[in-house]
Amino acid sequence: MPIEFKELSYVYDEGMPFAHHALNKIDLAIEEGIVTAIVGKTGSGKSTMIEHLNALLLPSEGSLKILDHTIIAKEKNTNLKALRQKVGLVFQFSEYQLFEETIIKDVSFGPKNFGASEEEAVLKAKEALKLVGLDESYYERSPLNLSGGQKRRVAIAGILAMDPSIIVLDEPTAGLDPKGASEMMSIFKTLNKDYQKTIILVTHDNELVYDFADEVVLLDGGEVKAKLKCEDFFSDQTLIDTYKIVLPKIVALRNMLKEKGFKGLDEVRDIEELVERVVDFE
Amino acid sequence: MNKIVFGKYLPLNSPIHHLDPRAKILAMLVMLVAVFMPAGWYGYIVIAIILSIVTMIAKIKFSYIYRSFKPMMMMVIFLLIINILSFKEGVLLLDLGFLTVYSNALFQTFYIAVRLILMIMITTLLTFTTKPLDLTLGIEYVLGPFTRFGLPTHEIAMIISIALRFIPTIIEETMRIMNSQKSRGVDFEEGKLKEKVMAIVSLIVPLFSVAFQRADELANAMEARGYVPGEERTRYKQLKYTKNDFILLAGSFLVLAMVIVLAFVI
Amino acid sequence: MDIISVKDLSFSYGDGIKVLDGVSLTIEEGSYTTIIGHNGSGKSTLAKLMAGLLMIKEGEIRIFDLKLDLNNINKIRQSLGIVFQNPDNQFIGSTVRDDIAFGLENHRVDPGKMDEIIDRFAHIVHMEEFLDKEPNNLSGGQKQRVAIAGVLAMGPKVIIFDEATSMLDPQGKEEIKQVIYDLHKNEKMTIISITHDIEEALNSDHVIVLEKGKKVLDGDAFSVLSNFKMLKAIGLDIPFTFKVSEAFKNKGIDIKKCKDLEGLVEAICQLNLKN
Repeated sequence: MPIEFKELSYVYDEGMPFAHHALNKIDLAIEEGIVTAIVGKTGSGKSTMIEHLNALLLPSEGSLKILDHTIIAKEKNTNLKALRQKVGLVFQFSEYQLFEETIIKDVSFGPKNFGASEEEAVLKAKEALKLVGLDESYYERSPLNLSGGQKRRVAIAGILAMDPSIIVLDEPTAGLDPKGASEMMSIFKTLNKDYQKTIILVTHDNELVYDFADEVVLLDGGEVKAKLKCEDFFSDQTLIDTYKIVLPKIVALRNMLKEKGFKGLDEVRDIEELVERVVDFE
Repeated sequence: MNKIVFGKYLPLNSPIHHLDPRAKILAMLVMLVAVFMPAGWYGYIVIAIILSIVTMIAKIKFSYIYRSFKPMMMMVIFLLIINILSFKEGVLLLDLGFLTVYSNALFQTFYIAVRLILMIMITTLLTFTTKPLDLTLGIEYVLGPFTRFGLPTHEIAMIISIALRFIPTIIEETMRIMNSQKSRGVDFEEGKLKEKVMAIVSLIVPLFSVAFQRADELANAMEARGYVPGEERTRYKQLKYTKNDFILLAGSFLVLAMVIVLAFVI
Repeated sequence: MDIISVKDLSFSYGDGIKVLDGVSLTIEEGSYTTIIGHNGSGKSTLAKLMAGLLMIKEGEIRIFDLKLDLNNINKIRQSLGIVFQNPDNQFIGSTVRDDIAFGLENHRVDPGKMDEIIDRFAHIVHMEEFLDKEPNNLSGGQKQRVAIAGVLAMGPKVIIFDEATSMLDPQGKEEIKQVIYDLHKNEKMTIISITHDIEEALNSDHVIVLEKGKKVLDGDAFSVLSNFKMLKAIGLDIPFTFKVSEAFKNKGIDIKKCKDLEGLVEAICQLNLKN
């Protein structure tokens, strides 16, 4: 288990009259090497949760184990910087973090902060840029003059260059066009499948969750309401009704066909396969 | 970020909150002039009592006023050091050989500190009880007479109100960029000078680039909704003087008169 | 009647690259038009040109049969409003009330009449309970609804939505889509929506596809979105229900294209009865 939340709570403005419990006694274990999606409404605590993974926020109560670090509330926690190298956090609209004159400098900024030599950092930057599909012709260009989608890739390369073993993605496709979004997601699929990175995906887009996640964690009001395998999550009718979960279209269609008496459609994810089964059934 | 109270508006419901911003701004100016009069301790006591009464009418907790003094503590300490080094009159209080402390140094510091406190109290009372937009509207009216000398009062007021509107947004943005850069290993608290400079650059550049983008989009939105700088507009918010405003103005002039009498006549 | 006609419109920013290249199109009064295409296809530039926020260099735009130029711009702006992508960057006032009033002030509306107008349009976008709220206490969807009310208060006949839902969460997206739908249906507004949402396009009357500054498809939603060959060639999405119909077709079964899942399921069931 690379990540374990134990009775973790986080209170904003503790001790103030407008104190607010953003996370309430979270118990959660996230497994290694898989894609875990964290879903929930705006304000359900998703952002607060992922900022803990990177020690940007420290728990008010409880504890958190990540890889070989343990962060305990109200205790002095050291070596947070080392943790940040192992957990790469890609913020929403991550392109806003770009600031260097050239792309190669910006991407090698992270590794250098974590103590890599200039040569090492550039080498890592080049690898990372290759991963996100930007070739040598981009190295010396300014990151600020790219299109939105390309900027986002540079920003993500900047995180990948640190070689984190856990990658946290906050709405990675927000603001991209559908083509840009699917290219972006295929980068993360490669990272998970070929590089065995543990991926945590925070998103509102259930199509993305269904397409990409192995496990789904549902947050509501700062509490974990469910942690299920992706397929089980989208078949749990009580959960869907209680939290008004929008079903991925293929699941919705499957359910409607099932109601009409079609059988053998369970766990079919692909339109072609679904059609084939429907035709066979007839 | 919630710790900074100076310049903030406290949304309470009190007679002071309902006063006309123009009257409040004028009263503030009059009171500031009063504080600058060399009226001696009695004058300051009178002003302090009156301000305390206004604070109570405005339903503002004294702890809030007290918190707004904190940022100037450093200034007072600095002042104290200067005064200790320069004032060598009065009773000798402390003699360390290389350093001597006279009573006048403490007295002078205290005197200036009291003035500062009163000034801050007056200005925070204004900002605590007046919505930023009302404040800009008030400033616009108070500056109105200067328009004929070429002062673009309306534009100034528009700039101030937009700046006020975007402060929370930009604070939020700063936090977000700081977090992104922290995740990339930037340490904003510690590090060598070179690293610190880099940390600041990594914050400032994105902040500016986003701010320019915002400004551009905002300008488009304003233009699309028919805003033309310099052109005449009507104002939704209409200011109206009420009886209380005249009481406030009369009161503040009365205080000024009293202080002048204390300072120059008696 | 055509409310907007664009003829041979080309545009380039400073760098000389043509963002729009000889685009001609017409928008019918009372229609709901969606303009789709990748980021960088020229959609937003087209919107800004129509709203008079960029100077036309080549070609022309006529709105209500008035040629859009510097002389007419103020007149045209009264009949055409635009809602932008970022909810934060178009909230000008310090409260909802003040923001809706902003455009009225610019049009020198009598202050005594403003409250009534503000109330009316806040009601249309369902923000009447939030009139005294400040922008940082509102959700993205709420801020965007205020932006719409601010535009509506100026009495336009046409509203352009420039990716107005793309920065919102699913709830916000639904809110705004519903408001747009109601404006079209109940207020008989002409709507031009620039969007990536292919399902929204499917439910509009008229779809225009831009690619690299050129208009590549233009027609009613059904026919444009049925042109899979073109849509796939430029890498655009295809509505889900159409994808399913297409998959059936590949199996040699003809199934009619449907706008929604209900229709699709019904069509599949009818298939069942025939066999």
